[in-house]
Amino acid sequence: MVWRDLISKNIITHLKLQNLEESQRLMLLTDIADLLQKQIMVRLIEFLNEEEIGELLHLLEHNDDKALSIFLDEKVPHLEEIIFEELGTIKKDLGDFLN
Amino acid sequence: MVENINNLVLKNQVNLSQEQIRQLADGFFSITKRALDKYRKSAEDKQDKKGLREVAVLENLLNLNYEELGDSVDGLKRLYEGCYPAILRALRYANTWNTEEHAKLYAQLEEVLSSAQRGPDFDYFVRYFLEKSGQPVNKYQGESIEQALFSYIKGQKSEVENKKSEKPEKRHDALLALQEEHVSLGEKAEIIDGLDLELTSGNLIKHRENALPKLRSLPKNERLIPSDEIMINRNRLEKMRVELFEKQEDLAKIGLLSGIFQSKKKKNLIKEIADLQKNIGDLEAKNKINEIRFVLKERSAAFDLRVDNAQEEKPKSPVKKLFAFYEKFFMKKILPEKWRAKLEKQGFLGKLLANACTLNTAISFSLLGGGLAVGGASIVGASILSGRRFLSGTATGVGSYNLLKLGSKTYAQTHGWDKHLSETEIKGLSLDQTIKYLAHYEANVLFEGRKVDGDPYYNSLTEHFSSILDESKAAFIDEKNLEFDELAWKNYGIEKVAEIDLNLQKALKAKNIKENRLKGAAVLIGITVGSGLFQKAISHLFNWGEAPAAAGSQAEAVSDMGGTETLLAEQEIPGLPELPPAELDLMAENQVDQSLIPELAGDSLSVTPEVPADLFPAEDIYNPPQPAMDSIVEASGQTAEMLKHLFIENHPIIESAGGDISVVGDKIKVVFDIYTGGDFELKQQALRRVMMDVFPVKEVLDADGFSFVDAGRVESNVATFTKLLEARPFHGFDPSVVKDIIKMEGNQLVISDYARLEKISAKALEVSKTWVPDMSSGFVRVAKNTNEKIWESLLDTKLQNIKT
Repeated sequence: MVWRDLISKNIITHLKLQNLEESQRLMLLTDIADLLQKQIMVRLIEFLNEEEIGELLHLLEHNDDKALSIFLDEKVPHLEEIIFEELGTIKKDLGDFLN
Repeated sequence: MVENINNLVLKNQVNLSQEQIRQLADGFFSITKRALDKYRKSAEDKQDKKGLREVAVLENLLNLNYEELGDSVDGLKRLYEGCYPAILRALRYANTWNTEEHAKLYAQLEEVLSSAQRGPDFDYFVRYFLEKSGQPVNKYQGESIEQALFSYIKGQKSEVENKKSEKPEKRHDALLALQEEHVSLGEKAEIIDGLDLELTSGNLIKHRENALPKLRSLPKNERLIPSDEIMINRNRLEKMRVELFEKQEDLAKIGLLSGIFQSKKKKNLIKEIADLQKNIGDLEAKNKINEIRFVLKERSAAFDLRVDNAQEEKPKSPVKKLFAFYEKFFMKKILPEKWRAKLEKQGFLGKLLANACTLNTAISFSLLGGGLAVGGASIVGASILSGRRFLSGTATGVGSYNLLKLGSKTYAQTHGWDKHLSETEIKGLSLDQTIKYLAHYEANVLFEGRKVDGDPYYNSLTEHFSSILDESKAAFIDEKNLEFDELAWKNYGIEKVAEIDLNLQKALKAKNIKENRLKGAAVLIGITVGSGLFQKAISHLFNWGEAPAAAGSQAEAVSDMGGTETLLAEQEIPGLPELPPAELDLMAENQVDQSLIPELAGDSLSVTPEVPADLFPAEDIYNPPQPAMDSIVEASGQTAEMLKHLFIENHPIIESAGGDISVVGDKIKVVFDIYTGGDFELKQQALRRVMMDVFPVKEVLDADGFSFVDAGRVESNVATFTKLLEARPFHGFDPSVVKDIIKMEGNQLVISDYARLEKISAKALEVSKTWVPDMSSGFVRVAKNTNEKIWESLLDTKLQNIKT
């Protein structure tokens, strides 16, 4: 199965985590979500040039959410695609490793 | 020859359909992958580094964006041109497969081959593959290409052919072979130049950027080799499964026989099988957790490394600093409108999240199969869309900023949403309650890997939800033409919510609260709208309660919404409290050797430096500040609940440490049970969490992060308050300063006024700089003696709701 097919698949069923205790499932999912965030941030960093990285940092530091939205719309118009890709990839990677 | 082949590739492949390319690539991946497991195992067993590197090459190849490779002629060419020497080696292991696996491969190959539309292009692919694998194509003249390929894979070649086929393998030994081939191909020399593999101590094989040709989404990181522990457990599982299979076979055989002895044996076998099944289940679960954690850990380290490398390359770039902000980035509620639209189509939860969630929550939802990537049937009536403003607040109230927690039963239990209600009970739910039950239920269903489609309980809740909304609209039906005035209905709702916001803001501004408090107030507003006051507002809206108090004009109220929205936008708090973190080894804390601190060991006050007077003005202690929120008491009777929620939001460590939080008057009271089986066994453990909670975030985020010197200062504060609780002066503080603020009552550590405790501890923390100037301090040694995981866990919890 390729990553794109996994985007909309529930990771619980994909990794067959249904039988794990809830607290364990919760912790794993939290950790997976955290890694996913890291992955996406790395993709952003690698996509943006140095000046844009500085600008993004500035917006985050100053909580300028409106400007941040505009920045992302303009500079990373394919953010959604990046998220899809990383989402599918992390599900695939974990699934592949477990299998 | 090579040139001819390349020409052939280019010439012929342009005629391949994308579907064919995909199928071919799929078959190729499948073969390689299956062979790879054996190859990897063999290399691991033999500690064959070359083999491991070659496995890594293949794994990296398989980790490429498959679709992109498969979608392009060039990609497919690269696929088998660039790596076939390694693939050849891997395929040799195909010959050692057992019959069952071999049969599966055969079936799969057959499927791939039969599904591809065979023609000159496909034949070329196979021919090329065979030729490259050292099998002269003309050897197979008269035999179908498929048969030839199968023969090769199955190892059914003659001995002579086998010997011949071994020659190129030696020639293609590991990377040298790869390099040779690429050099001979000329055009790929650059690829090899950039190839730089290394085997790290963590079994992590990585290659540097540009090791392979750059593709748009080429993963530049690494493939993982399972750790020894994982491999051992996998082998154990494999053996247990074989054993189970054998026992089941034995049982089946016994079923054909009879007799007392057989009956006894049968009974034993049944028990053994049951035990074995349980053990397999337990080990599988344990192994699964370990394996996922392993991948997450290694991947996370790899990403950190990537960022470190990027930073090294450009030392002045803010790359690392930005990366450190990743959590904050995902706490932002900046969902693009099109994402909202997608979410709104996904049941109740989607609608709820669409109106308030952070990027993180949207991602969590996507992990559970919803979220940004899918569309879905609208389960709740479209009428709810007009109530965005309400949902926005409600989302905050139910803690939907952290979907994973919202879905957990434990979390629901703490809020009383876990009960499975009867139809009658559902009909008695208020709108606010219905929203909470619905949100939890849907999240929990997803969390268990199920779907709400067709779920009768979910349908009952959503039907009730829709009916309440419909009822509310009755008041907005024009009597003359019997038309529903949606705009009036919407505006009325906005007016009521805005009215509450305005009152709160006025009350807060009147007290000249600092900016951070204002941010806190924004959270409060969110919570207010979501739970307490939202209920009140909505009850006015639906004529369930008294008429609302007179407020400014509707225009004024609505016009001020901009300000309110700004406030709400500033909040970056993920929702209600965290569940307690993983159990930590408290024993590690119990072992703190306080003799490491000279002043504690000797219990001497003679070395106590004088506390600068300006650090500790008595009036600050004895005349506590008026609670900033007291005006809110006037605004709503829900104050206690609001204050508690606000406190939990801003002090996640306290709740996660088991502190019983309550509001007495206008003060926050926290109680920890200190005894075996209580929250902690030693009061120092509770104090450590309290002192960590009050430790300034800005010092955590300073240049050295949360260092051991910082931890030492926390320990200094723990010591100070330990002594003060024992009614002994310490570090220049007199025990009287904690009077009516913190004390031990039997087995309980009782903090009666957390705000004042914060203030005193802040002073003590200032003083601690005297005691903990650097790493040489005894308090630093104590901090180091405390399990590092405890510091990490406390820090994580502290920073989860970070606001800067």
